[in-house]
Amino acid sequence: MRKITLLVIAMLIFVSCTKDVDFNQANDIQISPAVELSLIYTQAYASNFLVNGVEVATTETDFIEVDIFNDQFINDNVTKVDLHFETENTLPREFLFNVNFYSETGAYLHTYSFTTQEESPHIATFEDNNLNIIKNTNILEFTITLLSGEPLTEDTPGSISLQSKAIFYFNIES
Amino acid sequence: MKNALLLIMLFSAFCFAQNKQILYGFSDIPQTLLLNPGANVNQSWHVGMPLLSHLHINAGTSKLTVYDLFADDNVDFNAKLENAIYSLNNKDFFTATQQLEILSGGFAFGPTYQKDKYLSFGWYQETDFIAYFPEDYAILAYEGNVNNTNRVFNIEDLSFKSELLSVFHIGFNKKVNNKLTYGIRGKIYSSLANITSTSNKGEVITRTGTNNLLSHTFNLNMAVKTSGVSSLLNDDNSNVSEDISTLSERLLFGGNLGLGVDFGFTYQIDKQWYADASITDIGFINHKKDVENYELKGTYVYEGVDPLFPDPAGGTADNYWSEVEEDFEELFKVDTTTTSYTTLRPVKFNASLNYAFGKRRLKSCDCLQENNGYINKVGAQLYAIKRPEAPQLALTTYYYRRLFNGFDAKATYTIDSYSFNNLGLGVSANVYGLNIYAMADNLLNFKNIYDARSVSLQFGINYIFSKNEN
Repeated sequence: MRKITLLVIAMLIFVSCTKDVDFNQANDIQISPAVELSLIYTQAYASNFLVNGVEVATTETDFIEVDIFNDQFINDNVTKVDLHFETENTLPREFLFNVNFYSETGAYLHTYSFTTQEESPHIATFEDNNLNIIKNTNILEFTITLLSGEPLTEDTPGSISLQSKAIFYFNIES
Repeated sequence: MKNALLLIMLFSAFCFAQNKQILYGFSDIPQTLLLNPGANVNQSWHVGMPLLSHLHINAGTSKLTVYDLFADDNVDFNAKLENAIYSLNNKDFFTATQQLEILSGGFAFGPTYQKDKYLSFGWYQETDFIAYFPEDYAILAYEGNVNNTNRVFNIEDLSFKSELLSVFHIGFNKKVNNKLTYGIRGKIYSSLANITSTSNKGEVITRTGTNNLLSHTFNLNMAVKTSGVSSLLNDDNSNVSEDISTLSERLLFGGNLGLGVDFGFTYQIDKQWYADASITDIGFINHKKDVENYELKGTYVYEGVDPLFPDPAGGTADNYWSEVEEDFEELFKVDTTTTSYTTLRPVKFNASLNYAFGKRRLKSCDCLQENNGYINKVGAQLYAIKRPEAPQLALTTYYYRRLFNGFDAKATYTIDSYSFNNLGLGVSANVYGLNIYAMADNLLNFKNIYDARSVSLQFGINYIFSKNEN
């Protein structure tokens, strides 16, 4: 009889049970990483603004075509973008920076401006309605403009530097 | 005692899978010969019930259980997910193993007065999967690189291996004298499908830059090797049943072939004490058919571009930017190759020290031929398996008892890093030559299987002719 009891106990142990689990919870998955990426940088000395020793160019400009803002994954999941610029100016003149945003077809979308008179860093935040500007941007144009003042010469000491990064805030849901 | 505890802690730092601690040394069951070809053999011949002689299923996780993540407990899923990500590290793993014996058999031979040799053979199919938790990938995906400046994200954290194979084997077992029995088994592996990614190297780091705020370093050396997979993925059909029939055609030597060997012995120390040990699956598989490897190699440091006063001067900012974009595309370009590769089988080691005691008093018992008639055994078993990142070990103590004629049971207690409370139970019944066995471990978790860190089940039916029935 004892053996039979043992056998029955053994058999009972082999019958397993489960508690409630809900695998649909995986649909609620939501993660919000923040990714930062180097953007543009520049450093200029007095000589960069001189031709034959005379200050001529008051504005330098150039552009880059950026695909990254049009990436489908970024477009679908980004909730906020910060463009973070830091300036350091040891030249005896002040500068104005313009960042112009254009669409793929070249349509003007937006301008973000800052001067070296303002305190660094300069942060352009795009979220909610503004976010569409970034999502539609394909061309970023950068300009640096000398603000009026004592003319620069070859001997003017110092430099103006600009460093930047883009911070993408995501909210990824399944 | 303190040392013993330390030893146990050390063992638990490693982990185990594929461990068949209940079956090991269960000499009433012919399949124990697959764990130790030099095990004591008591039968004169056996035939496994085709497809039913041995089914083994094992799944394990070294830390996280299904219940931890998916319990219907009104706790926010993302809180549980966060907890999971931060509690796991790159040594934690998930495993699954399955074995199905298709055919098996064996017979004793030698002089009629003393058939001291046993030949066993068979064919089984095995699935083996192991994946380590890719800790740094998970953190990078979960947090991003903001606030992780200077943190080294290890590419090495991605490590996984999956194999579907069939194994043909033939083993020879010889009882040299009353003290020593040894055995050897040769194996031919036919790999139906293999995916291996165990040697990734490199890192991704975001540092404070010199020209710009940030400097991004990518040093990537990654490879996923596959065999037997691309023909299934690239064929015209998306029909799973056709893929299964393609796979089953490879069961019979149709896959990528390999060779292996098992060794083992049993040594009777005195009337009551005996020791045994085995090393199995020393072998390799050479993957050359249907190979498709994916490789990602490259080093790149990115700080940004200078659009206004570029160095060297002359180009436009957009040219520099396009170059950067091309460099990135090049960096993340996956090369596909068909270079053959070799995988090693996971070598397994088993050893045990055993003590038999307690003779049966009933005169009607006919079980005296084994272990000098002792009906109880206790012992300790050590199990180790070589795995991609580190060997996994388990220590088992057991109690075995012949409950009544033709009905044996073995209870085990196993320590491993899955848990400290792994109780297992196996029973084997012999009725008129028909042998049925069933085994399971982690019994304490059976009240909620989802909360078990590992589950191992074995089941089989054989037809066995004992020596005394001949």
